[in-house]
This record gives sequence, C-alpha cells and structure tokens, in this order.
Amino acid sequence: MFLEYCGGGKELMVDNHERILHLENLTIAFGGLLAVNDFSLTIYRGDLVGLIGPNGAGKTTVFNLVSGQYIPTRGKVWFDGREITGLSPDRITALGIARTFQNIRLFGDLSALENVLVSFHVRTSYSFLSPMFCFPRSRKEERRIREEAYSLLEAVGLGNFAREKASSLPYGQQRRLEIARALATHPRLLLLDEPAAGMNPQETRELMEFIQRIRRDFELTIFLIEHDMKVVMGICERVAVMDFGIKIAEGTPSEIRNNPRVIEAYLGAEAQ
Amino acid sequence: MFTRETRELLFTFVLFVLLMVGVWLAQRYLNAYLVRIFNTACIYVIAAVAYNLVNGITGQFSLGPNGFMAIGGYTVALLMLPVVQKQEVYFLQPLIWPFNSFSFPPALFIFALLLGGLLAAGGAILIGFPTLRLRGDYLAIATFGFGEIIIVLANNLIPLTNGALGIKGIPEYTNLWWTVNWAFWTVFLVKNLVNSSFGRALKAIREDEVAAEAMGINLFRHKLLAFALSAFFAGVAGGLFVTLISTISPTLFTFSMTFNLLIIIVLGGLGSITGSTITAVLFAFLQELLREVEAPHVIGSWTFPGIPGMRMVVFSAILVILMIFYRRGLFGRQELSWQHVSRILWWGKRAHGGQS
Repeated sequence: MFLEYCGGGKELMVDNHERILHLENLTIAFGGLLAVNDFSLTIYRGDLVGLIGPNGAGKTTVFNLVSGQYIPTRGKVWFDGREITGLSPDRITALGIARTFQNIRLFGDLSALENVLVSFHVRTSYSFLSPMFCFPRSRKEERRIREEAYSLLEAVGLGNFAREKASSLPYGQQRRLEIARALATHPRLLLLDEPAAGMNPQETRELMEFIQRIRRDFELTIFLIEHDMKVVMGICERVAVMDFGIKIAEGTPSEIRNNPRVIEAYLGAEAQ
Repeated sequence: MFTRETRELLFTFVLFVLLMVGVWLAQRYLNAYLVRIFNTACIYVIAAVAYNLVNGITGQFSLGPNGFMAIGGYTVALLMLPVVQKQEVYFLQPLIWPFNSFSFPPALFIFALLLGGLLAAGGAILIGFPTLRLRGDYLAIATFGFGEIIIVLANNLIPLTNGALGIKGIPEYTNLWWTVNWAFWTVFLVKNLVNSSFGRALKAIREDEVAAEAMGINLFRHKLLAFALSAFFAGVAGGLFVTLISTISPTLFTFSMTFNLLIIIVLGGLGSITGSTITAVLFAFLQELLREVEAPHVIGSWTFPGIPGMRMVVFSAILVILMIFYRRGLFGRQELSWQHVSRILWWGKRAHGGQS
C-alpha cells in the first residue's frame, strides 16, 4: 500500500540519469576549520551511494548540509531540480529528504507507533482546532494515519513493538524504528547515518537485506554513511570517499578498494 | 456497538452532566466558604492545565502565566466594571477613553472573558516571536521579564489600571457554573489537542528538537501556537479570578502566582493533564487548610505569633520531599483515560470472559 504515495510506481529504477541530489562545491567553515571543502557529488534517482572516510572527515557534516541542519558557507544543494540551499530542515523534509542520526535520536518517551505517527504530522491537513473540537474530519484522518503507521511498522518488522516505549526497545530495533520514522515522511531520498553502527555481524547482515528491501519497496534513493566496509562494499553501487573535508575519490566499490589515495587516507602514507 | 471514540465522547458527556448536577447541588447546599474554595480550585485547574501545555507537553520552560493572567484580569475588569463605578474608582486620574464611556452588560461576560484570553494570547505571540526561535533558557528569562513588565505597567499606567490602588467593586459574575464549565472545557480541549497529531508534534519537540525538525515539524510555529493557546486559557483564568474576588491590583498577579502554578504542575507531573487537574484542586484546598500554620498559636505558656507566608514554606518543604521520592511528580506523564477507568470498572466482568 505504500507504493501509492511513494511516487506512483510508474517509473521504476529505469531512468538512471535523472539527477535527484546534486551537491555543488559545498563548503562550510566552523571558525577557521573547513569541515567540508568544495564537496561536489551527484546522485541519480534509484542509486544507492555510500559515503566513507576516516573519523572526522566531515561525512555527517555533509548530511547536515543536505538536510538543512547547517547552512553552507559556500556552494549549493539541488534536490529534484530545485535549489534547497538554506531551507530549514522541516521544509527540506517536506520536500522529500528524510534522515536518520548517527547517535539514535528517537522520541524516547513516546511509543514506537507514536514515533512513526509524528512523521505523518507534516501531511495531516487539518488545523489544530479541528481535533480540539472533535471534528469528524480529524478523527477520520487520525484513523487513516494510524493504519498506515501500523502497516509501516509491520513492513519493517516492528509490528509487535508498536506500543512499546521507544527508549525501551533493543538497540537494533531502535535503529530500525528510526528508519521507519524517516520512511513515514514519504521521502524520495533517504539519508542513513551509520545504520550499522554498534551491530553484530548477524544484525549487520539483516540490516543490509533490510536496506535493499526498503529501497525496492519504497522506490528510494539511498545515500548512506558507513564505517563497516562489508556493508558499503556489499550494497552500494557507488562510493564517495572523504578525508579532511575533501572528496578524494568516487567510483564503484572495486575501484575504490584499489584506489591508492583511499588506502593512504585509511592506513596512512607509510603503508604504501 | 459504537466506535471507541464515540463511546468515550458519551462517557465525557455523562461526566459533564454529573458535574453540572454536582454544581447545582453545591450551589444549593454547600456553604459559601467551600464554594469559594471550589471556585479557586477550578481557576487553578484552568491556569495549571494551560501552563502544563507549554512546560510539560512542549517542554518549553515558561515563567509567564502571571503576566497573561494579569492581562486577562485587567481586560475583564475594564470591560465589566459599570460606568458609574468607574468614575468612583478612578479618582486619582480619570480613566481614559474609550473605557470610561462604556461597559459590557452582564450577558456579554463570556465575550469579555474571551477577549481577555485573546489579548493574553496576543501578548504571548509578542513575547514568543523573538524568543521561541532560540533554544535553551531564553524563554524562561524573557517570560519572567514579561510578567514583571506587566506588573510595572499595571502600577504605572494609572489612567488605565488605576495604579497600585487597583480596581474595586468589579461585579461578581463568577460562580461555580462559570468556573466548573471553563475548567471542564479547558481540560477537554487541551486533552483533545494533546492526543491529536498536533499534540504528538509538541511532545516530539519536547523529546528531541533536532529530530522533530528533521521529521518535518516546524518548531517555531508549533511552539508559538502552544504558547499562545496556553496564554489564552491563562487570560481566561485571570478574568474569572478577578470577577470572583471582585477586585484587581498589581499585587494579585505577581510572580508568586506563577510559582504556585509551577508547584502544581511539577507536583502533578510535567506533561500530565490529569496530574495538573488533581494537584490544582488539592493545592486550592491545602492552601486553605494550611492557614492554620499562619495563625497565632498558644502551646502551654508559649505564645507563637502567626507568621504570614509560612504556607509557602510548608509548600516548599512538600515540594522538596516530593522531588526526592517522586521525581516525576504524582502522575509522571501518565494520563487517566476512559480506557483506564473502564478497565478498573469492568475488570471483574472481563475476568469472567466477557468481551467489551
């Protein structure tokens, strides 16, 4: 049922040349530190692109620039043919970019279901007065989004946890719930910030399948940051590598694996 | 037979009817002193539930309800005080136009209350516009300052507020019908709002602003709306209070009013409407019971003089003890819903295998 509002299902991942995200010379300076320097990248519709790099390379900063948490000092962000540089995070989310966070940021005191329901709020059309006075319209809408939220939780395998408090869920489930919450905003582009962090090999394998499944089911373009090379090499079609805020390489996983600059960045110069 | 929502609405309606019967009985048989306490209790309920919407549900620390109550109170006082009375009250400096030339007939009392609420909400938007964009404690400082400014204005805008002398002889329109109705509808409306998509967005802001914004929630707009709505009900509470005690002066809505409300919502549990409602009533009664500690006492040959303000010392002690043993208040973030009530009432029936 999610196919209905995730783009219509007409154009599958056929047109691989339609740009969905285009980063143009992105630069952001914190004081004297250039956290991201002249970063350019193009992602096409349906892609699964990975962003890797040593700690502190500026990967999460790139995400924060795309999702609007930071405003770039220089450069532009284009999404789906329109410039979104400088828009606030909530507007960018409404346009179709959703994200998860490196350190999980769930609404801890709300139930799993409510966490997902929060993301539906952008799309509820009634004003705040309507539920206050029990207008039937808001009740109908509430029933509808509850059903959708349930089926979304079931789709990510959290159907049995709907009533659990988010903070009481096990770690792996919390990561899943965060992805479900992002999916509930009906994104076209999903940014995953280290989805496999803290997972054991078994959980990581499940996560890889999960990412590929949601990408297919929800017709998503996925841009992910990951430290686990198995994940990046296993599921990404293209990989960009960052070091000290600069993009040092881009290509298919096998190209990246043999790129001397990447090896240098990860292992240090003397390894060569 | 019915959907759950319809059934719960029906329960709420029955509760409303019962409350109204209760009011009728109370008006007839209770003594004036008890009725007065119930009136105060209801006004505390309105103000506390509204205050909790900002501090507990949305997680923004405001210290401004006394200012909003003062705005509502002065508005209602100016609108309802008869013209003849106005000429007597304002003997230092005459009341400015247009307030000196008209007053609302008693039938328009409800509109005076609504207007008081709306003006308070306007004040909230004014103060919220610059401060709600910022994160952190700015709101607390700004709202505290706002409350103080209102008091200073009330003291010095003599042609409008009659300064420190205050306004006396405001008709006593407020009775149990008014207070209980307003308290009921405030709780009902706020509860509906909190349980809606909008309320979930407010709770999400409380839990994690960054994540809430990333999920598409416009932080500023939601905070401002919650803040204005809260101020609206605070203004109404102020208006009811003024027409209950028939007088208003700058000392009526000082910071201690905010402090009382803060005690109520923290004791009840930040984020629990049920908690605020129950502790507001308890607070009104405790305040009367604790008059005893301020009265002079004779124990044996010792005479203890009464110390005014001792009540607040006792309240503070209660607050400290509760914060040690019930850190999240009496109710935490729990709510008493019809589901809970029916579970308690029909528990026996379910144990026999009955379906409900």
